[in-house]
Amino acid sequence: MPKIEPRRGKIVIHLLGRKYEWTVEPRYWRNPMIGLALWLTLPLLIYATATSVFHYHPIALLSTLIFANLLIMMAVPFNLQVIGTGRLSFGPHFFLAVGGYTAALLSRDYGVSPLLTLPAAFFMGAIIALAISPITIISRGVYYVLITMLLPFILGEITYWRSDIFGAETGIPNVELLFHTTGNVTLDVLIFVYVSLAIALVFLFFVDRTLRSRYGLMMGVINEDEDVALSYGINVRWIKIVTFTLTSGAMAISGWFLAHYQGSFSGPVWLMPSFLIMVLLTATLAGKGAIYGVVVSAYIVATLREITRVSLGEFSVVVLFLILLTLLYFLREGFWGLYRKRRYREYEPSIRVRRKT
Amino acid sequence: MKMGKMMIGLGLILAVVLLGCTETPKPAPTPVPTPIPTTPVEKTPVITTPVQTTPIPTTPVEKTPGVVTTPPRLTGEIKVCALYDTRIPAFKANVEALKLAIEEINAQGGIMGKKLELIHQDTQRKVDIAITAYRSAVIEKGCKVVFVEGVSEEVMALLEEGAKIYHSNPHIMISSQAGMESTLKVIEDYEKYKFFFRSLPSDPEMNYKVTKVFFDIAKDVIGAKKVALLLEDAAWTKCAREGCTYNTKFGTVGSKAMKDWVKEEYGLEVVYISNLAVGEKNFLPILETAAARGAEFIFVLSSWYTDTTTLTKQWASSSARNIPIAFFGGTAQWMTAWNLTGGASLGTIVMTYDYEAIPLANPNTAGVIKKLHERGISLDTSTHYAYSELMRVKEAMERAGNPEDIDAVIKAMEELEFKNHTIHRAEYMFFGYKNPNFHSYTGGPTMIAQFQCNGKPVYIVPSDVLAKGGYVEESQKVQPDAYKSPAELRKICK
Repeated sequence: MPKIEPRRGKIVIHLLGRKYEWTVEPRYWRNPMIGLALWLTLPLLIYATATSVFHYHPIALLSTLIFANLLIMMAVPFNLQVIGTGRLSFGPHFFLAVGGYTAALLSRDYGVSPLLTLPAAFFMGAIIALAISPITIISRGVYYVLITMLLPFILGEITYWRSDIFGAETGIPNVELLFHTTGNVTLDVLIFVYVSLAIALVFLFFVDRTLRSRYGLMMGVINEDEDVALSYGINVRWIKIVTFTLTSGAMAISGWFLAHYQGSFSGPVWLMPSFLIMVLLTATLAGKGAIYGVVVSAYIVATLREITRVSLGEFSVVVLFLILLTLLYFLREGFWGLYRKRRYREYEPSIRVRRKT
Repeated sequence: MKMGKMMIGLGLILAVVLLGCTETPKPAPTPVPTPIPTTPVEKTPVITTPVQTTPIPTTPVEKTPGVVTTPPRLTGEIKVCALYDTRIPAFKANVEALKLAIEEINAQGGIMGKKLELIHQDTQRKVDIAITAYRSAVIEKGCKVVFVEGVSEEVMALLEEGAKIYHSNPHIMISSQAGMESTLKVIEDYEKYKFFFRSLPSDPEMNYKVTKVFFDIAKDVIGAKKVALLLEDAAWTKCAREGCTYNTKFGTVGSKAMKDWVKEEYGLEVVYISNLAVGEKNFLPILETAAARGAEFIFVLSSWYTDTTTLTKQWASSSARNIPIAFFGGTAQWMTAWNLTGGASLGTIVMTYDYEAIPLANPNTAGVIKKLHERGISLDTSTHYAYSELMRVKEAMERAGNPEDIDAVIKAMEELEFKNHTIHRAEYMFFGYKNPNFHSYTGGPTMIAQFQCNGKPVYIVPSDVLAKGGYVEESQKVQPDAYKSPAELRKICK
């Protein structure tokens, strides 16, 4: 039987010999809850406002939200990977493609349902990541960047070389959709928004719990200085390999989602550096290691991209990147830095000394 | 948190305002009852061409009775959406061609009185954006005709979207130069994908019937005996690289690898084959090897993925410079290739439809080329396809009697013997053949020219090849005897 023990500002739950804590002090959970509620209701709000007030189906805007959620699905595990390995990877989209191809091939060639292609995509991404994970130990700096950068290029070339399997730029068609259509396209898209949002939310939850755990602390030490981490007795190699493997598997789930969302999967599209840039910008603009900042960052990046696209024509890409560059320059701590600046007590204790006058 | 909330709120407001207000809001579309699915064979009894095992072009059937000769005058407008990344010159040309076609149609009173309106949406050549733009085009903007850029990965994804959207928002989607897999979907599941038309022949025909003319030139005009093949390493060239067979319910279509049929049918020895990696910039080793192997003719099977401008420049400075080189696609199709290469394209052999004095029988062709040149546009084949396909849509809508009845328009598109294509004869772009070219073009001879002094193209297709392909009038205007070797041209064009 679980034993519940109220303590000051928190509840401690003893279950099966383990101890779990739940902070009940409102200042620690009120704002995240408000943010979560806002995030969850945003698609519905857009849908309801557009249909009832403006009398049009906001399908372009909902599609943009899906892209924003995709960016979150990539950037959140990417952030954890960077923290846990102490390395900046330039190949997160490689794992997206691995997951996408796994799901698409299993679905088209063997009729495997999306429910089963999900773990398959995760494990394929994780297994490949495990196989190449020694790079997180033996290489660093520009070597690590180059290795991770080359992986997507190699996969891209393989898709052309073995076009009989991967379909080159045409990709793999006839992939089963995640769910049968409701008959209302806008509603279908709205469901996809919530599916992608749910995946992003699950990623956020796991990464949040990890960063708050003692493993998160060890990852932070590794990120700061590996020698110090070793001197503390932290098993640096083990943590790096596990982090790299699991976060890569998570990124592969993004590919799974794309394959079953679009009904086809074409790797060369996602292996382009342009998509990598969007993921890196999302992660960087979020703020260093700020996983909640990723949500804000992804939604702003995706919305800006759509706004510039529909309003600026051929200049849209230039203007978009100029805006994002400006944000990078002025928001030194990313979007999350804006929040933290005003809520400093939530992330670090401080002492105010009143001077005698 | 205030700032965070403010940012989200601002983003939402901006998005709703800017996206929602880019057009006058329209009421939600009313779902149209879906007709009971029937197979295309049952729906179009007028097509008498039997199922074929090899896709031989067949003569289009005569028009069915009941054609509307004096269509009733309607009001309102028909929206035509163009989903193109206009940063790509070829796609910009497609949009301009559509604008020109719409101007001309509207000047003639529109389609049964309905004016056409063009809405351009930028895809940035990205699949996710193309999907967003497509959904917006059909559902939010109400486009009845959607032209999409010939990027296979986009078209494959859009087909799935279109299948979901079609029954609530009927429309036609036309793509030039997408992969053949898109057409196979129409053949295999007609009711689901019937809204899609592709202005390009099937891959086996593209890699065989359309390219054959280059080897007619190599053998009969140039007198070459040894050839080198440079084949772009992309999905659409699989038939040329490896050979291919496609089994469809309308028959089987296939072709041998190019190296095999070039030898068997033309008796030409293939001394060198090289695959061109997409994005390749260094062609010198390939050209040097072709020269070292004694090639007397170099054929480059490429699309826009291959930088033919760089390839041409490197050819002109390599030891292969005296070997005649022929280009299938890319910027080499443009008249401006001459300027782009600084005159290095002298002597190159190209498939070009960008010359105002092109010897084509269609009286409209020169006018279209001239008008687009005046707008600063160079034309490749897809530019002509965009213009011509909208003209075909006009005829099909008039034939259907109601531009809003898209099912009837699709049927009319399948039955229509469209004679006003700016570069192809009617039998090569008939959409209704019950063979693997269903809803796409049929392969045949094309107009091949050599860039001679000052970049003037001289059409050197053998007359008998054109005549056999049905281009009787054109066959009298080409000048295969005017071919000159690159070395000779360099001497006389100083």
